[in-house]
Amino acid sequence: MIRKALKTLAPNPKILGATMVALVIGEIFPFLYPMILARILDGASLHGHPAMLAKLLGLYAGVVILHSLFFYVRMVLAQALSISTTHNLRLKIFTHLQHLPLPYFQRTPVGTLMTRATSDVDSFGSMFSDGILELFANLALLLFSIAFMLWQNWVLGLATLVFFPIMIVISAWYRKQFHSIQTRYRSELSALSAFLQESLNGIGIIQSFRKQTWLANLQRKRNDSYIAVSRQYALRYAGFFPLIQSFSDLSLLACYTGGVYMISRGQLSAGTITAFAWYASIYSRPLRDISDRINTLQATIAAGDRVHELLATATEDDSTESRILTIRTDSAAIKFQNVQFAYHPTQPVLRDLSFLVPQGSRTALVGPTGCGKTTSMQLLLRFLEPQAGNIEIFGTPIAKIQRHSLHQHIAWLGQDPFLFPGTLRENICMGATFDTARFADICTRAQLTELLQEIDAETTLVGTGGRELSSGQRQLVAYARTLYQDPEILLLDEPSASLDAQTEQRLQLALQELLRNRTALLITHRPSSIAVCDQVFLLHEGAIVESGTHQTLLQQNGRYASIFRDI
Amino acid sequence: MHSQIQFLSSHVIKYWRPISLAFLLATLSVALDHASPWILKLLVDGMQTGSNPTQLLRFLLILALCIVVSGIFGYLQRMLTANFSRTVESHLRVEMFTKLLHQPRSFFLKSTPGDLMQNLVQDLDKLQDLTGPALLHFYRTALTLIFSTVLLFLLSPSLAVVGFVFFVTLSFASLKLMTLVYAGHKRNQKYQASLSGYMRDFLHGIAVVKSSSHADFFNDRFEKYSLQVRDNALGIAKLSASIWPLITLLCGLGIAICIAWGAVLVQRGTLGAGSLAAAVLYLVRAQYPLVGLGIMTAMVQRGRASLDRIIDLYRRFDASSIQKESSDPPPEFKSLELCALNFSFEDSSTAVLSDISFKLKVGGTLGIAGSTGSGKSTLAKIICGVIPPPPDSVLVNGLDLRTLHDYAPHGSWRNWFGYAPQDGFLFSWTIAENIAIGNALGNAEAAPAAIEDASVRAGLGHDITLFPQGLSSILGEKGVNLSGGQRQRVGLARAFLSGAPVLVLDDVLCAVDPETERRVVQTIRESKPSHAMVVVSHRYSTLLDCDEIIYLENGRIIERGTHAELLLLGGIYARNWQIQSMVNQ
Repeated sequence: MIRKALKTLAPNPKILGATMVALVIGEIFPFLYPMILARILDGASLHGHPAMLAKLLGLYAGVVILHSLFFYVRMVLAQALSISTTHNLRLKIFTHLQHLPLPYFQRTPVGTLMTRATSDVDSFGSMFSDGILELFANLALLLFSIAFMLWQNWVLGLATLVFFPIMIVISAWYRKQFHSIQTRYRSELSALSAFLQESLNGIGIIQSFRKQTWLANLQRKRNDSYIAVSRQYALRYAGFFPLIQSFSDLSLLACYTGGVYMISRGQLSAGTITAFAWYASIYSRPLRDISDRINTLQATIAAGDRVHELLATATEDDSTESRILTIRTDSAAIKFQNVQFAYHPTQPVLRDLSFLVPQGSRTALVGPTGCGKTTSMQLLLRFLEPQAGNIEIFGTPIAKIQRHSLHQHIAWLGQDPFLFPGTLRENICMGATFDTARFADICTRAQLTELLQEIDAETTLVGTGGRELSSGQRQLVAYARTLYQDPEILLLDEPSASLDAQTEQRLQLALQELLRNRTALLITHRPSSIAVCDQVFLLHEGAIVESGTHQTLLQQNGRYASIFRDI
Repeated sequence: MHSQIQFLSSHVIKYWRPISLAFLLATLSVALDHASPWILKLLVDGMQTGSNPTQLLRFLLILALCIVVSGIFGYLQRMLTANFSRTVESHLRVEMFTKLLHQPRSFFLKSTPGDLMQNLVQDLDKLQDLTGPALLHFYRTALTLIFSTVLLFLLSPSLAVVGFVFFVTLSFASLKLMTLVYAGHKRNQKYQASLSGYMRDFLHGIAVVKSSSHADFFNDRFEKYSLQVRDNALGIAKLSASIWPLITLLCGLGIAICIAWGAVLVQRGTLGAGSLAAAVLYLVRAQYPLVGLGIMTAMVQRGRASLDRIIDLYRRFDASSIQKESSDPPPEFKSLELCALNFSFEDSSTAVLSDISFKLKVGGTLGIAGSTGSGKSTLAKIICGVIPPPPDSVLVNGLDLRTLHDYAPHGSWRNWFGYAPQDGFLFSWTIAENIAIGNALGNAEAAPAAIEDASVRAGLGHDITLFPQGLSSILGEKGVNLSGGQRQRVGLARAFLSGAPVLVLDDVLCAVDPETERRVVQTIRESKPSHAMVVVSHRYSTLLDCDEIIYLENGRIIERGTHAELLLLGGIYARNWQIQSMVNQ
């Protein structure tokens, strides 16, 4: 596990090593204080050697300063280590995410991915600084305290350590308890949060159907089960600390008892017993904290496992023979040849799809939900790979084209015109070079003139946290984005939600600009959009059942006519 | 501060018994904790005077008793505290949620779900920390400080002064330093939030990202955010890394000064060695809780900020008391009449609706058309009782709807209306449970046959056969995902299930494909005899059969009539109809 983490996180070995050294040396100092105090009590103060006393006090102050210094070095190094490893891991994950196949995102909820990519990465990134190093520090303190006590006075040392095995057992038992209850606590908390979140989002529905009391009772039950676990969790903790504290005090008692025995034989000095009373208060601390540390480390390891799992998810592969797309003018723009596709073998989405889209023509795909329209587009974009059949673009099988090159020539416009947080200009140009004249021209063609009177393309932020745009405006921005990219082929999945008539008209004008001099494949239900298409394919259960122009299909009086006649 | 105490005392006072018991137990357990250094003094003194071992063993017996009793008391006190603070949390959450459920619409316009979630989850959790662990830790620390100082005074008055100065300096330093780090962390959270925000948007728009050929564009921006987090964190690290070493330095030097002064006293012969040993141990043992004060202060600061937010929420709550909603069947519906309705939202002077009048009878259908922002949805919400209307402008069976809102806010009259909004919200329950919310009774359980019937009438019959478990399929992230049109139809099924005599459908079919829309509209028409309906739609084909269509612009009716009449009129409605049906021209 640690080897794997070392490989993924690749912490700077020099910094890691230096931190370890600072840590080990730093944990020796706490034991020097009682030793010096013992000397003072036994020698300097009692027998009146002012020079000796001054020397010992000077030594004490020196230890204090060194202790703080080593502590500081260790903290600075550990934090720098954790911060830079986390940053690197974050970049690694982000790049990886971009190359995961689209179906992965469809089956993995955004919330889960968010946790992986943010809090799990943070937690795993600090594995060395917070997890392993802190645990290491605790172990060092524990070992040093045992070693010092046995070294200083083995009789008193053994007496003080008499409860040590019991404390280890208690600590181990509680650690297991905490771990299992923490897991339950977290799952109860997220269940409660999810329930509350949903209730708040749906409060309008609850109120309009007057189910407030009913929902409040449901919530009471959820809350009760959360509080029950939370209480259990707290009660466990409530038991642990006093118990360890009591045994630590009992260790002291055992030490005193040993002391009395030695006093009776005249073998003990005041300094030694005082030093041991001090040691006893140091050595119970790591025992108290160690269970927390191990649990933190376990949580970190669990986060690391999830991060590794994400990193191990296969990315889309571009085979070695893939190349850059060359546009041939003598072949069809899009060619589907007996294409078959299924997510599950028993439920084929595309049964046997074949069609041609000539260069510069417009084709509409129509049909009910689940007929395979969207899947066809995703296959064209190589988001999915067909199980059988062949798809060609400008005469080249797409399986042989690099995705990056493919996407330069095919643009896809989905149902949800997505805006990234940023300015309008960034949203339209994305990474492409900015050209003032071209940008202005495209905004005009995409009917954005009116919007640009309200907001500034270069300073006003849109998208999350920025200015909210209407769904019609967002659609226009997406059109402008595609115009700026100027691809040879356009795949458009038109939103079916109806908008008010003025907005519709504006969208139609922008769409005409978008379709000009381009090959286009449209998924649409809008009669006005179908009207501009050269051919229409009606899909049903993954195959074309009717094809022709809008007029010829209406005349056929079939399925298509029954849907579109009245509109 | 005053309001905080007031709020806390009103919610906490009823638990005075366990609280005072916890304080008592804490006092006793802390007092007994101070026995062991004193016993050390007795041992060392005894060692030097040469008292007999039996005497010393008696001291040890007393110490053993102190340890055991202190442990038990400490355990009982922590148990009481943990228990009581969670009882307060639990009670407040249920109360807060129940109040929230009964707030009027206007309340939710002013608070975001994110803020309310924070109130319900994090704020109450922080308050629990404040009323439980933080409170008792402060009490125990204060006691430690007092007991240690008093015992030091008994050992040597001048050493007690030095010790007290050390205690006070350490407490202040710890508090001050922790406050600084806390501020740094808050800054860091801000950067973390913008990083997460970017990541969330990126994941939501992943299909757009993947279909674009600009991977570098996204990488560069992400790196910018991540660098921001990194650099800020490195900046704070310099400060936060120095805190614990500084405290170590302070503790070390403070104890060194006390030892030095003590040793001088011993050399002068005014202090015994045993007393010096005990004094040093008192200092060593007190430093931990005092340092802990800093950590606890962060907890208290967070707790108080949370408490402020909770108090603010309670202030914003509607004062009217919570009543149980009536589940009785409503009186027979006869007519709905709007008489020159003018409406504007509380905090604005702009009229949303002006001079709206119409009459709707049993079996009648009213269509509402108009451009985005013309007031259609607001009108629909007023008609179905979601937003209270001004007095004397909406009459049902001749009764003023406003009077009903004011005097019987949860009366059976509300069961007149079945409302299906544009964005039919779905819970991550089964489809059947989602539809069952529409049930007319107080609970949300309905006969499976009734649910199935409602779903079929809403045009979901075929869709449901496609889901693995039919109506019992769970929705949301853990189960099947519905398309926009399917979601809307589940909302419609709810309204059907309610069996309400007045159905208000707010653009409920806009995301449905034309084929399905026609089927659903036909079904609605068939059930017409028993229902009055108000249908808001952008797609005029839905409105063809309405008894009357009103066309709104800027909250006013600018055209009205049947579909045929409006076409003859040749106004905006007719022009838009042409745009929508361009194909047939």
